[in-house]
Amino acid sequence: MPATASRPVPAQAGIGLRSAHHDEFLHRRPAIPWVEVHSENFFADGGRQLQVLDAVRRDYGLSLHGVGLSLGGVDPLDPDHLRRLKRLVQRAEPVLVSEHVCWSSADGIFLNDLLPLPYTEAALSHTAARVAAVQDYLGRQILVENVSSYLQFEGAEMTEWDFLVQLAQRAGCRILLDVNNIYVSAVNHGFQAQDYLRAIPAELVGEVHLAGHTVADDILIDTHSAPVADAVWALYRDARRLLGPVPTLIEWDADLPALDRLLAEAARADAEALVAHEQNGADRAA
Amino acid sequence: MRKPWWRMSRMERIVPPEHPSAAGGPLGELQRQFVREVLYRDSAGLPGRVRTDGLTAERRLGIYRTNARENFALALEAAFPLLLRCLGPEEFRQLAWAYQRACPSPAGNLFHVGRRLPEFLASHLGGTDDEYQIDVARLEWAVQEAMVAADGDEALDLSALAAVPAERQGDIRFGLHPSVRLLRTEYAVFALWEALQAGRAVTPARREPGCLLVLRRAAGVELQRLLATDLAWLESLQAGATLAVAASALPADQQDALGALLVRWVGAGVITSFG
Repeated sequence: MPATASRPVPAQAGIGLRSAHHDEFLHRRPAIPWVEVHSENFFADGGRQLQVLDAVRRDYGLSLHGVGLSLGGVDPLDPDHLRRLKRLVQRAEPVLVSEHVCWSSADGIFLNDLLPLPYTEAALSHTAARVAAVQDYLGRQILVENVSSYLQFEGAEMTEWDFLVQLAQRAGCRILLDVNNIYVSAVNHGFQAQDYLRAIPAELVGEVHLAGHTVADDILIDTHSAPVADAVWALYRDARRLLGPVPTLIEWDADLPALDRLLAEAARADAEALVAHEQNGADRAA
Repeated sequence: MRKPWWRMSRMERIVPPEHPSAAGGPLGELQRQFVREVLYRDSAGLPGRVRTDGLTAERRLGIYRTNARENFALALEAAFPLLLRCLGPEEFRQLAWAYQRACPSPAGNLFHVGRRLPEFLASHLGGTDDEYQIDVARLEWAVQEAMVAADGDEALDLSALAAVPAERQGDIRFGLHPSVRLLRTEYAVFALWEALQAGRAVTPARREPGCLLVLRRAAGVELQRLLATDLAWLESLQAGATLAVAASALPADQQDALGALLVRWVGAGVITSFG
């Protein structure tokens, strides 16, 4: 399923573009190769949001990132949501289209959150079938992202990373690996983040996410309201050593900082990737 | 201090749907339990299915409860900034959470969460001092709809219109711009809207029936006050009436002004097509 796009998304850092930055971004045209937007924010039939997107995609690589499809939910996939997503994909021709490995509704009641799945064979086969159905409907491959979680269900039959890899392999999709989410979930559930990273085949990963989290007294919360934490930068370097070149996105959604602060985070992501590349080179030389 | 109406006992008795489905096997049952527990604290079976690992199930579920409430409330705040100003942040949050339990989000796109707020307010505020807030919510939802409406035609082709033979003019059906919303209000909420745009203090609206037109232009959404006769005429056009039928909605003393009405609303970008 080939994807088409007007501008490429290279293996460099981009930023999540939010509406508060639209005017400044279009006025300044910062020297960054690509951006990602939340798909649902552009489901409108017309209006300014779509005009902004048209202007952005002319000069930047574009990724559409969804938060509301409920890939792991048992409610039927929402036909209106799918129709609007397909219309947006056809209009914007993004390089990347992604969603989350989660669910968000039951009996038609949406919590509008990225809710955790039980890591069971039943949940895996169910979710893989829905990812495949979405790809068939859109006529293109998508990426699926691992989410941060604050609980796990009893009766798990596999690890989260086994679930993620098998999902990608069965559905024929790729992985959007969120390094901050791995770190948050590792701390919250007591597993080793390195085990997670090493289990992910590099060829399945089409994008990496970085974001900030909040440290509560007893748990980490994925708030996207802060700079990337030092421990997550360290994990990102490890990820890049394992994965090689891959587009990386800085996400920041709450307590949004100045655009320059986001661009600085993206520049640091590129610098950290270079460090990882040099470490790999040094290891090979040794 | 007056107790906000949405903290009254009747609001606390909101319960989840009584007849949930049985679809999806064990996975579906787990997800239904999760939603009931997070929104309604109504699923005794779920905590036992959560691994604790040093934290209680309630603590872990509580994070999802907070997320669900916050995401919903933030989406409502963004869609109803005037109502937020009328109520203040604390009371608006209380309203949002009561409304969420009564009318939970129907879609994965948070845009839709505000659709039933005017109806929800109408069912609770009629006859109270806060009744004007119903009109505030109706106005703000109309603005939300206008913002995402289709772009439509830029302007009506006047030369094509002029070419219609006189004997067929009565059969013309005019189209309004897709973003046009027409409202009848019981309270003077236009003044509140102006105050919000100007950054002035917002006070409760006085009772003063009126008519409003909401229209999205390139620079953003605009509001105009309308005469009741203009609103009725535009409503008939929006409903698909022919020019002859729409003209019959006008008072007898305005029949001769039909041409001027057309020119006015075409010039204002409200009438944008015909067929």
